[in-house]
Amino acid sequence: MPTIYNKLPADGFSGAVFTTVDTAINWFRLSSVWYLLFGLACCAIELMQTGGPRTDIDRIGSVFRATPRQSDLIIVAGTLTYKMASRLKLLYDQMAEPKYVISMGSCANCGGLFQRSYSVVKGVDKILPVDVYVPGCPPRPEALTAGILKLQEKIQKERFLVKKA
Amino acid sequence: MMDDRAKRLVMGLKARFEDAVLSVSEDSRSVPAIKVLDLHKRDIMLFLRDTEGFEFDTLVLISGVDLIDDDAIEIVYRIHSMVHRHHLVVKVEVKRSLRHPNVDSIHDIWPSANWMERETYDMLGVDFIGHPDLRRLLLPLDWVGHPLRKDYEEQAEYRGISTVRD
Repeated sequence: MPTIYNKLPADGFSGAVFTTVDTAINWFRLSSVWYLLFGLACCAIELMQTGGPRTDIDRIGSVFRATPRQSDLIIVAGTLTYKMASRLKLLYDQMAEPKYVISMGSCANCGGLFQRSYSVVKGVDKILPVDVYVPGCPPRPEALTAGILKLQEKIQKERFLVKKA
Repeated sequence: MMDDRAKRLVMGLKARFEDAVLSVSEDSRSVPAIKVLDLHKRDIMLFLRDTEGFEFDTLVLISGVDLIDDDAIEIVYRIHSMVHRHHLVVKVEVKRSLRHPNVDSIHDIWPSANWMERETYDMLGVDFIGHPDLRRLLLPLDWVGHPLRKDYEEQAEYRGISTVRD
């Protein structure tokens, strides 16, 4: 989070915050991580609930989009089959940079309960680069929220404007 | 034990198709299960659907059993009658070691057989002769192998995705 430099005048708060451009840009980006609805199986129910009224990720800025063109994040919630894998890759390719992937639930992390099955991809990271893994079967909405907050921490640490040494 | 109605069904069928009925047994719910010769299967199905007193108007299930030790694949047909509320199971055996084990399709007798036969082809590799559109239903179209066979081995990778978690 940007540090608020203490330059308050004696007669009241002037309403100004001083920070670096990098920090500010990242602050704006992490406060508005829109995710693509990609509920495949049971984890989709918990995904819906995480966007629902009790655990509301809209309050941390994450609202769902039905199209990859308007999303920053894809939450792969559920079991991925080989048949679905090519469609997933297509949707991921349609997202604009910078984009992130959260793998939600056992099945997306490693194939989960269906690891011995012939038709299940043993983990979504065989196809996409995953940023955050959220374990659970299914993960509680609180767990998924923690995953999104972790992603926000990751976004905060990115540096675009600083020349790499 | 089969109840009287079921016994009468089996008697009626045997009376009409003496040589075709190979054996009669029953499943766990006392539904009679009749094993018939492949050659007469279509005639028997048409008889069961159209004759008064039988009138099996619904095909519920087509499935297969891989009996690798007997060199056979058993195709199981489960039919119900909404009119009379009785059920029947008809089984047909196909030789497994053929390059393309095949049976006649019954999609023109009961239209629901269309997708059921596609699924049986997908999982067990049994061809249905006369089927208008025999391709895989559940697995991707370029999948190799038929998973419900007892000697099925998973391929090492599919389109570049490795099938092993490592």
